Amino acid sequence: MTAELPGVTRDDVTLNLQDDVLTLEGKREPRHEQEEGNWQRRERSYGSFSRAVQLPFRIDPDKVQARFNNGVLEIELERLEADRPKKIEIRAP
Amino acid sequence: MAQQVRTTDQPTPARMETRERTPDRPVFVPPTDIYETRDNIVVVAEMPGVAPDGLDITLERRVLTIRGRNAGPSNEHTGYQRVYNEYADGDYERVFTLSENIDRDRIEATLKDGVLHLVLPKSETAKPRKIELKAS
Repeated sequence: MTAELPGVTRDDVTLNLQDDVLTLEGKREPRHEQEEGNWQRRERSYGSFSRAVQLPFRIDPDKVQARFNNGVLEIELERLEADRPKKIEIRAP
Repeated sequence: MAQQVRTTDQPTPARMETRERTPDRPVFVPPTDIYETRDNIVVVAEMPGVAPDGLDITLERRVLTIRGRNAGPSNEHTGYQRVYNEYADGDYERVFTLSENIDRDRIEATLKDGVLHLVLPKSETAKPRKIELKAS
């Protein structure tokens, strides 16, 4: 899973996993000096954001890996072993 | 009676571009903040996915051009198949015409977390100046 989060740092983001729902929350604060300047153009948005994504299967919470890459958050999620489809052998009569 | 509108056989392209680019992928206009302090003009552009070596900034006279090449997802994701898609990977391009004279030797650009901070110092002649009254 990837999410575009330019200007958001590691410390601003919280990831929560509950069964198969991943919640991504965070905030983006404007830099202090920007408040004092004289605005010519203001297109970026600031504040808090939250998003919950329902995944197609349950996730192994111990195997989640998340990293930031140039403002893009990448989250790697692995399916729970107990949730994987199992092959059933048919016994010979 | 309504006037009949005839269309020509040749379809006109929806987007006319002065040049064609390779590879063919979308080009976005990065959302940008511009603010002005007493000494500087600061341009803050959002370009998620752009690495510092994929960035190209030029200032020609008063025309500031920002181009960013999206490096795309990291290579560790090979073997994955996309199941849901909300945003496209693309490049960024934006051109601004600045209203002030810029001291081009002192321009500072930093790219951090996918956000470009460009500090353009105003040249001395463009700065506001206090005018002292001469005693008559």
